Amino acid sequence: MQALLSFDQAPPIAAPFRFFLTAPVFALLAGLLMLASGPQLFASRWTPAALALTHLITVGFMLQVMLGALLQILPVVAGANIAHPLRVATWVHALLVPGTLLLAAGLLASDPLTLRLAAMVLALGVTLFLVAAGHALCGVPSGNPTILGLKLALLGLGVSSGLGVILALALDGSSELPVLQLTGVHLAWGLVGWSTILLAAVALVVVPMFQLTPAYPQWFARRFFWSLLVVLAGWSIASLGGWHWPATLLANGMLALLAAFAALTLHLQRQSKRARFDATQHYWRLAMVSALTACALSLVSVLLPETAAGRSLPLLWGVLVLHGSLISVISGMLYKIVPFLVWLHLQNAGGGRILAPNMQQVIDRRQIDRQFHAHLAAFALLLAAAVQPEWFTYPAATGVLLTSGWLLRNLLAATAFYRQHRQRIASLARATPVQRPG
Amino acid sequence: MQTITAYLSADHRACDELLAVVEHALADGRWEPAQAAFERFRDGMLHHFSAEESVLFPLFEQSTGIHRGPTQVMRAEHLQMRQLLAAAAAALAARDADDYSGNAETLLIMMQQHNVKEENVLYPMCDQHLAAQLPPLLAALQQEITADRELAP
Repeated sequence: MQALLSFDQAPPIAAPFRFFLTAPVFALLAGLLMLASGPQLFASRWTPAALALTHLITVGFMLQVMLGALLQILPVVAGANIAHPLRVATWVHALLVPGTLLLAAGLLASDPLTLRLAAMVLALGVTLFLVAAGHALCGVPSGNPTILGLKLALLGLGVSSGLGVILALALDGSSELPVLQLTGVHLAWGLVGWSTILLAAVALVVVPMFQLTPAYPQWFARRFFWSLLVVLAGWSIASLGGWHWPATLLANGMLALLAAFAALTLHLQRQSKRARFDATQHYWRLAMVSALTACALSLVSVLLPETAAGRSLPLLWGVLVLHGSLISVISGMLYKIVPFLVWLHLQNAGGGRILAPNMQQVIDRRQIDRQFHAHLAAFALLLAAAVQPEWFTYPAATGVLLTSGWLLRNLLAATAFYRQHRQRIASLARATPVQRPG
Repeated sequence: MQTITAYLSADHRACDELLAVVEHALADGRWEPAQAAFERFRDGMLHHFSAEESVLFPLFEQSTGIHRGPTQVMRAEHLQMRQLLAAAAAALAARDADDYSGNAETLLIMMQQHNVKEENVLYPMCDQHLAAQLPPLLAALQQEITADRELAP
């Protein structure tokens, strides 16, 4: 209850920004890894380079932004204030960065010792975040679907990370664990139990509110999160138990739920009252169309496992889910969160007497549009590379470097804008004494 | 029976719709209808603030004894939104489409994150603490929101 009563201004800007600014650097590293590995990377989803690439994106890019954004979102959406947000951010970030680098290096070199070290450092960072967020959410009632979604997403992060640690320790080959099945379950909890549930919880708020669409129907919002989690848990047990038919049935159920969410979101976005779509809305649309396509591909691989056993299908699926869907939503959200936070903190610095420049001045709109186009080009090239690696790996790597570099450039421009105006406002505030009435 | 959460959330959505009307008029380059629509939007926002500040918040503070909690934050955010409303009005008067759109976008995010806090946290608390006084309270809120008088920005 205490959390509910004390909801206050946002945490210091340095808390989320360190995550936002680091994330594109990992995406750049992913591009460099593609350049260094060449077409060999796309030989299968199991090559050391493909595994390292996946984790540079999921842990290096996605997890960074998602944790940074949660620091900001939890107090607003749930009234759950994380105690000492700057200290938590500093420690979690300081553990995630070396942990991700060690993980990528360990996967690339297939080195058990490095992997073990990576698992320990990352587990520590994620646990620290989960404890801080869990403590803040403790006692906040889950009556609201978004708050329930946020809580279940954190559970998903815990399960996925826990399985990741087990896998990292098991990869030295000495273990008798069913590594293949465990990898599937780890991936499903990371992409569905954590990422999709978090995305959907945020979507329930941001799609209607920022895109001025009708709300998600109550029946959907109330049932979606528990349904998805129960089906995911059931599928995980069936998959690990080797029960083929129940696993297939539950996998189809999971796909139906995910497709329903993507289709419903697109349907709502079609009813948006906004006069013009900006890059954020385009990013959301792209993400939902990619997610639907990925669901269709998954359906093919569940129903026709022989066809899906080929090399390209899993790689296409990975590109659709990671680049097309999750990176798209995250980039689109960054373009709202970052300029708004810059405005909010400048406005607070001015104490209501000196007005901050509006948020559209923080990052030049043309630069955002150009970065979106670079993202689209990289997407097309990555899809092509999944099918025809010999021709397209290097162009796709260049595309990834370009779009990630551009994102980093735009976020750095926002940071420079903040610093410059913060100084201006501070000196103006010194020169303008507070006027007292009377 | 209607709740504070339902009633005031619906008023939030009504204000959103008014903002969208301005945006559409501007997208077609119709400045005068845009200005008229903006007046209606600003009026709706100011009446909503006034209903909360003069009716709901004092009652919440009185019944819970919490004066420096969420209501204080909400009042501070109302002040920030009033400043953004003024900046957007000035941009419209100067027929500066870029400046208007920048201020309106900032206002939209500011008001939506404010609405989330109210709808998810503060209004449910009000429903819980002020349950006994709900019918007269809702009537008073309605009177403030629909009052036909100009409010100072």
